[in-house]
Amino acid sequence: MNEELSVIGNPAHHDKQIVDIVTGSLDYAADNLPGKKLFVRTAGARQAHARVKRIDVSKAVAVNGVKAVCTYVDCPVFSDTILYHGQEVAAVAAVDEETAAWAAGLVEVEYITSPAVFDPDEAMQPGAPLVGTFTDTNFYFREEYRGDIDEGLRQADIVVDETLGWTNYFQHGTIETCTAVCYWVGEHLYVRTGSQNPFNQRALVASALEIPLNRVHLVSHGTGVGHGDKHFRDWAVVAAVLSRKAGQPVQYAMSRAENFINRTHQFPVKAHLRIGATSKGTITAIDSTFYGDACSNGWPLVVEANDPLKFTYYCPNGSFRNCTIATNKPKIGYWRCIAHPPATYLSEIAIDMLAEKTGLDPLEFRLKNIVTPEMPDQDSGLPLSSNGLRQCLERLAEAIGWNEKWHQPAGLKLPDGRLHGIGICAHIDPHGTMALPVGAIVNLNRDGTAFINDGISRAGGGTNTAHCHIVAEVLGMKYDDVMVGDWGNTDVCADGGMQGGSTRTITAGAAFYMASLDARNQLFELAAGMLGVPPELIESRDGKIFQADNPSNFKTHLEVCYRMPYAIVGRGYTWEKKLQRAVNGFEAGTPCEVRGVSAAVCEVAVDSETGQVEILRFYNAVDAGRAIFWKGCQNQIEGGIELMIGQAFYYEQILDPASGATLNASYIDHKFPTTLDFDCRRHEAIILESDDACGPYGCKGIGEPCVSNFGAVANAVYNATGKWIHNPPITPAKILASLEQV
Amino acid sequence: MREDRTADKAPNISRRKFIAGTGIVIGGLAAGAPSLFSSCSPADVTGTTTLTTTRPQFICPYDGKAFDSFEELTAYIAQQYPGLPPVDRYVSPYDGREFATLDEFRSYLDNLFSRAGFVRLNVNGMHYEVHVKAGWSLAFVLREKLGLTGTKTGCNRGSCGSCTVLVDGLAVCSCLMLAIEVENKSIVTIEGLSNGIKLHPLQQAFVDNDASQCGYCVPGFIMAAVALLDRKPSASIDDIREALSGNLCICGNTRKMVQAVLACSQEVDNE
Repeated sequence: MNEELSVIGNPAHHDKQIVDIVTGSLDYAADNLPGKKLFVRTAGARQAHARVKRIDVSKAVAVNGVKAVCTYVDCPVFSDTILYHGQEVAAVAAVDEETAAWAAGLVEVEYITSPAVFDPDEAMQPGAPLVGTFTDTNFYFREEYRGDIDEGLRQADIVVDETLGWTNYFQHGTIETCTAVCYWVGEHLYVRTGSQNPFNQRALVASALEIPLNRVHLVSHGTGVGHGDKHFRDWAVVAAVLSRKAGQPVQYAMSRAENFINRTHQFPVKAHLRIGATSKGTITAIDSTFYGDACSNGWPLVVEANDPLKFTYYCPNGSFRNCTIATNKPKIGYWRCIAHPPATYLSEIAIDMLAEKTGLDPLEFRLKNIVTPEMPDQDSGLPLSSNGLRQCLERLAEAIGWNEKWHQPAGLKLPDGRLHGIGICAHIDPHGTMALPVGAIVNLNRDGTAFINDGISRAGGGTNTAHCHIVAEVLGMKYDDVMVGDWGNTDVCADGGMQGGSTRTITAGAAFYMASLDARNQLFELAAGMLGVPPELIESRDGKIFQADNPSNFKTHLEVCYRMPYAIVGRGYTWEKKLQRAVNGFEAGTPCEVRGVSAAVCEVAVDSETGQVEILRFYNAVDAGRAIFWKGCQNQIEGGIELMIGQAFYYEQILDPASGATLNASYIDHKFPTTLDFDCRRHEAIILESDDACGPYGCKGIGEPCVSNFGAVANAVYNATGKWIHNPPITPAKILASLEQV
Repeated sequence: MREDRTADKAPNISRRKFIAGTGIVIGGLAAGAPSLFSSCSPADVTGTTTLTTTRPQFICPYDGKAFDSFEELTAYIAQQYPGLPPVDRYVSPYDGREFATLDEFRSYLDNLFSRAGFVRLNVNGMHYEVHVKAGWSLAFVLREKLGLTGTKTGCNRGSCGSCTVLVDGLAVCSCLMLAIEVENKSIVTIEGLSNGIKLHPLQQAFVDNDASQCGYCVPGFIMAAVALLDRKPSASIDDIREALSGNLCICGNTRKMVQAVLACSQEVDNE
C-alpha cells in the first residue's frame, strides 16, 4: 500500500473548505435562515436535587411574542426529577432571544427538595444522602487484573504509594454553542445542527420523538468545535418539539451560560496509585485505583482511566480498579477522550515520583519502562500495528535539549530569580483505532474530477480533507480535482459513524480507500479500451491514467471520464482491525490493536513570589502513523498544546458549595487560553510517522493523544519548585500554598 | 484590549461600557437574561454575574449573593455592609432615567424594548433600512435581518470576539452594540472584505497558512486583524498577539492565525 505517494502528506495542501471559512460562507447551524425563525431560551431549576411538584407556564405563555412553551410534560429530554442546579425544566420559543429569556424567567416551579451532594469524597461516605442517579448507592467499583500483583510488589525494592487528585471539572466551551434549527414539512422533520455524529443523532432524535427514522433529515455542515460535546440529541429535540408546537422554524442556540451548565463536562478523577520498581528502575507492579466523579448522569467513563498506565509501561503484574461516583453536579461526557488526559496527569506524576526514588532521570526511567514497538499488547497478546513512543520521546528530548536542561528538583534559578523546571510526559491509549465499519461514496464527474460524499461533519479535525487526500491518491487524480461534495447530510451520504475516539481518518479513511478502489476499477475498465491494454496493466498518478510499463501511452482523467457510459460511483466499507502487512513476526491478516501514542515536554519558569508560571517551551510529539493531511495534522497537534495549557492552568467550572449553582458560566469568568497565553515562538508540533500496519496508507488517529500530556506541566513545575500540584488547574495560589508547606 | 480601543476613539461607546458607566442598577433585559442586577452607588461598582433562573433575581453587587426579592437584598446589604449606601433607586442604563419602584422600572424597559422603528444601516457599502427593536444587537440584525451570517456569535457578552466587525474602522463586538447605535456609521463585515473574485490579503494569508480548524472563530479573528493592520501596518508578533487576544479559538489554532497576520504585516520579524 505504501508505494511512493504523490498527494498524501503534502504540506502545501489546504483544507478543502478553507476559502468558505475565511469568507464567512461556510454554514453553521444557526446560519440557516428558513424564514420567520423563532428563538429559544430555557428555564433552569433552582435546586440541585428535587422533584418538580408543580410547574406553571401561564405567565410565560402570556408574554407578547412567545409562540410556544414546552416542559418535561411534553419534551422527552426534560425530566421532573432534578439532579443538578440549573437543569432545564422548560423551554420557550419566541420572536427573539430577549423575549424568550424574559418569558423563561416567568416560569414558576415548586419543588419537593432532597439533600444534594457535590463532593465525590462525601458521596462515598457511609450514610451520605443518595444522589438519585443510581437506585440504592452513590458509587460502584470494577476491577481488572494482570499477573500476580502481590508477587510484583514483593519483587519491588521501591514502592510509590500515593493518593493524587482531584483533577479539574470543566466544560468544553465550544465556541459555537450547541445549536439546532428545526422545521417540519408535513410529517418530516428537517434538522440543521452541528454534530459530531449526524447519523446517530438522527436516530436519537427520531427515537426521542417516536417517529420513524426516515422522517428525520439531518444536515450537519459547519460544526463550531466538537471536542466530544456534540454527540447528543437534546438541543435538537427541544427545537423540534417547539417547532411542532409553534408551527414555525425554531432555532435553539444555547446561550453561553446554558451551554456551560447544561452540556457535558470533563469529569474529575482521583487516583490511589501503588507502583513498585526494582532498585535498578524496572517497574514490577502497578496497583492503581481511579475514582471518577461521574456527576448527575453517572456515566462510568472512569473505566478507561487505567489505560495510560496499563498501555504505556511494560509491567507483568497489575491490579486496575476504578470507581464510578455520582454527585449532584451538571452532567459529564466526553472531552477529547474519555478519561485519559486527567488520568495521564496523575499517573505521570506517580511515574516521576518513582523515577526520582530510583535515582534515574524521568526520561531515562521512561525509556527503560515503556512498551517497545515489537511488544504485543500485554493483556490480549495481539500485535500492535505501530508504536512510536520511543521515537516521540527521543525527538522531544533532542528538540528541547533534555540532557543539558534537566536538573535535580528545585535545583536551578534563572538569572532573574525565577525557578527553572523541565518535565516530560508519555502516553499510550486505545484510541486512534479502527472503529465500527462505516461506508463511503465517491462519485466521478464527467470532467475528470471526483466528489466525495462524507458522512461526517466538519468539526475541525480536517477529516473531510484527509479523505480527499486518500481518494486522490488512490484514483491518481490531482489533489485539486477531488472535492467534498456534501458532508454530514443523512439524506445523501453513507453513514460515516461517530467523529470521536480519534477514529475518523483511519476508519472512514479505510472506507474511502475501498470506495476509491471500487471507482478506480471501473475507471480502468473504461480506460483499458482506450489505451488498448488490459486493466491490470494500467496505473494512474498525477491526473494521468497510463500503461504501467509505457507511461507515454496515457489518457487524462478528463478524457476517460468524458466517455463514461454510465455514472461511476465507488462504494466502500471499513476493513476489519487486522494487520495489512506482516509486523514483528505476525502475519498480515492477524487481528491487531491500534494505539494512540504521544508525548510532550515542557519547560517553565516559576516566580516563587507571585506563583506565576511562564511556559518557556512546550513541545508536543504525536505518532500519527502517517500524516495524510499534513497541515491539518500539524494544526491539531499545535492545538493540542493550547488545550494542554488550558487544562493545566485555566479550565475549571466552579460550583457554589452550598447550592451547587455554577458560578462561572461565562467566558469572562471561565478563562480559556488566548493568543497572549500561547506564544508561537515557544511551541512546536512534532509529527512522528511510524507507518501503522492497519490504517490506510499507514495512518491512525491523533485527536485525543495530542491533548493528553498536560502532566508534563506538573512535572516541570515539580522540577522547578520541588512541590507537586496534583489538583489542576495549577494556579498561582496553589503554587504559593505549596511553597509555603514545610 | 478591544474595549479600550473602542473607548479611546469611538464617539459612540459600546453597550458594555455604557452599562459599566452608569453603575447603579442594570436591567438585564437587553443582555439576554431575565435577571435584574442591582447595585448601589458608588458608581464604579456593577454586577456582572449572569444566572439562568426561573424568575428574576436580585444580586448583591458586593458578593454576588442572589435573592428572590428586592426587599431581601436591601435587608441583606444593610446587615452585611452597613457602611455602604443602600440600594434606593433604579437607573436605566440606556438613557439614565431614574425610577423609584421596580414595577415602574420594568414596565419602562418593557416598553422601551418592544418599541420598533426603522434604522438606516450602511453595511459593506450597501444602504439598508431595517425595521428593528431598540434592544436588538447589531450582531442579531446583521445575521437574522440582513442575512450576513459570516459574523458569528459565541457568547453575546463581548468575551469571545467571534462577532467582531468594523464600525468606522474600529473593531467592535457587534453583540455589544445595538443596531440603533450604529445608524449612519460605516460597518464592514467579513462578507465585505473581498469583492467576490479576489480575497482580501488577510483572507488569502489565512488560506495560505491553513489557519483554521473548525473555522467558527476565523471571521472574527480576520476582522480584528484587519483593524490592527489598518491602524498599524507594521505590526510585530507581540502587537498581533495583543490585538487578537480578545478573540477565542477553542480548537487552539492561534499559532497559524498569528503567523497569517504576520505574513501580511510590513514588519519582517518572522522569528
